[in-house]
Amino acid sequence: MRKNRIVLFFVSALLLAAAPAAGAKVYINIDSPSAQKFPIAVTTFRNMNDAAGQESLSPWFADTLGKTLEITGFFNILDRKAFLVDQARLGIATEHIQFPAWAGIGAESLVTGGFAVSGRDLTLECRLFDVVQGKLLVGKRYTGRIEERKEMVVRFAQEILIALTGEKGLFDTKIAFSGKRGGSSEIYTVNYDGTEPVKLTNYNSITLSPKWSPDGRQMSFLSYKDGSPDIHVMDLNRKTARRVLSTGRLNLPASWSADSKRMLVTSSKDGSEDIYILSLADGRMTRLTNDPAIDVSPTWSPDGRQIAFVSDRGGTPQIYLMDAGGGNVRRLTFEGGYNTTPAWHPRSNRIAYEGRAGGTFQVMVIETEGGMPVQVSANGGRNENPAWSPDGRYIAFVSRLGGKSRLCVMNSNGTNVRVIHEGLDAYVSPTWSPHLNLY
Amino acid sequence: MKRYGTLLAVTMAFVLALSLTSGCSAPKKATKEDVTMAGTKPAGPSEEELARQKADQEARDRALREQAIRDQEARERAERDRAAAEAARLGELSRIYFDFDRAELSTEAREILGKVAQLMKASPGKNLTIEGNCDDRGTNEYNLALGQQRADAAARYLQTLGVERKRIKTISYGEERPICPEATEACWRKNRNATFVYSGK
Repeated sequence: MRKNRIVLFFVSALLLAAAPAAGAKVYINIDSPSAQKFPIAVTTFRNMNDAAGQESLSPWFADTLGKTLEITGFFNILDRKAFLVDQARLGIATEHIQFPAWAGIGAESLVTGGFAVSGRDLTLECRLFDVVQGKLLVGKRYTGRIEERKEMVVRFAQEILIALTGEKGLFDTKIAFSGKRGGSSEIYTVNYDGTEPVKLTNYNSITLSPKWSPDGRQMSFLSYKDGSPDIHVMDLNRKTARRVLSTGRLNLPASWSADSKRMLVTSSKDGSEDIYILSLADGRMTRLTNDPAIDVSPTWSPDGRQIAFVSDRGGTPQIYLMDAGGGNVRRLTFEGGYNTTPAWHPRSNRIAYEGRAGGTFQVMVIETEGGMPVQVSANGGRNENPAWSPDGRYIAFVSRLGGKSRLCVMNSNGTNVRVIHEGLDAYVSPTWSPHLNLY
Repeated sequence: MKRYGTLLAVTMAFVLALSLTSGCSAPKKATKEDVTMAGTKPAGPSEEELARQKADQEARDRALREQAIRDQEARERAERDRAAAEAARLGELSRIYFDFDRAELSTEAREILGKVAQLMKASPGKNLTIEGNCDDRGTNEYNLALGQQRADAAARYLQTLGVERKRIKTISYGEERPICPEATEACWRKNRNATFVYSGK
């Protein structure tokens, strides 16, 4: 498994990285739980054609790029007040860089940039340097309208992530969730940095459990908008929804198949709550579990060969595993009397879930081979509903503390907790989008 | 010509009916007086006699109207009392409660379900929706399933007591419709229920 991941990593690095050599060296091993934040200096940008009235763009580019990098949780953005040289004035190309001055303040990487404004047209140049080796890692020039400057910054941040971590960042991903206000709940989406919240539904009903299709084009969810708990699928381009499963009893959407054509669902259509595969083209249902107890929240392993789910067949809700066809059912969790919401790590045999620990609920991670679970979320309040980012580096979750509910994201080792959305009465069932190729 | 006459008569009858039902007696009195004055003034009773007769008639009318209103009020009161009694009875039969993470029926729940079954069998026109609810601890998805199990447990018990399954609908609202908002055991207890919603007579 580990071998496969490395091969995959090289292929994507060769395809995506501007400087293939950079892919060979991983500066930041973000999978290491003890990883230190990587010190990086971002200088103010040089006004290359001395465009009048655009002086404020110099710090704007530095600040925006700094914030974009900081939100990944991997970087320590060095304070500009500590800088020893004015690199924007000296020049931004390799021959002008005063590497010892940057090494002297502890920077391992340096970002310089310059811009030229002509009318509404903007040319942006960005460079990333390895301070220790004194060499250029990535250089990019972007041209476009001045209104597109934020997008250009995010594009270069993406290049930095590829050069230093071997993989692109999550700047083109979103998080969907159900938000409650005044007795009803609706589906929302928000960028992974918390910007641009969008209310996707307006049914004034109970609407929960959004799940993104792997192609990023559709979203399934549960809604009572037609009176009973039915499964609907929304076309995210057209913003139109259609009902895909209605039985007059409980139906819950779960994970999508890799080809976005089938869906794991929970339905009580035949009596108790069991797990089925729903084929979206013809509505056919294939039953996977047949037990009088509750079977709910199924999720496919990344290779599609196994399914993790919640069952209370043993008396309390616990995480179970089974083969993709429904056979070989075995119990995974034994610690704690209430373990639910399994989320399979997108690249490894680890499952995050919500477990009862010390009278409250926390985000736990367990190897699918079994063993002792590790509590990832920090104590204090209830931390529920974990959802992995597509690269498995982050976990989105709901924090309930002091009567307040918040949508949060943390690094997979539990550090760098940041609030993505707050202000609604309650947040439920966050889910992370695949890469949407926005940048 | 005859058709117009009929039309005129119908229209007049309609106008008369309107003036009667509107509860305004003034126009009716005027019409009566006109007829009296035109037809019987020279040879009839004295004006005093006529006024006395008229006053008697009005008193009788008034008494009749008041009696009718009193009867109507009594009927409405009785209907209200009956509805209140019914509501109180249904109120007692509106909810059963469950333990945390359980869908088993307690002795108390079975007792209430026994009365629900009696009510349903005594009123064959009634239908019942059982709504399963949970407290907000644990996961929304699991609690939706648990709410369905609670509603189903109640429905199955009613069925064994002879209530036809087709008169019972079940729906789970999981933890989405709490009746008590606080994070206390007292509130959680109230929120772990199956609620009975009756329809029909």
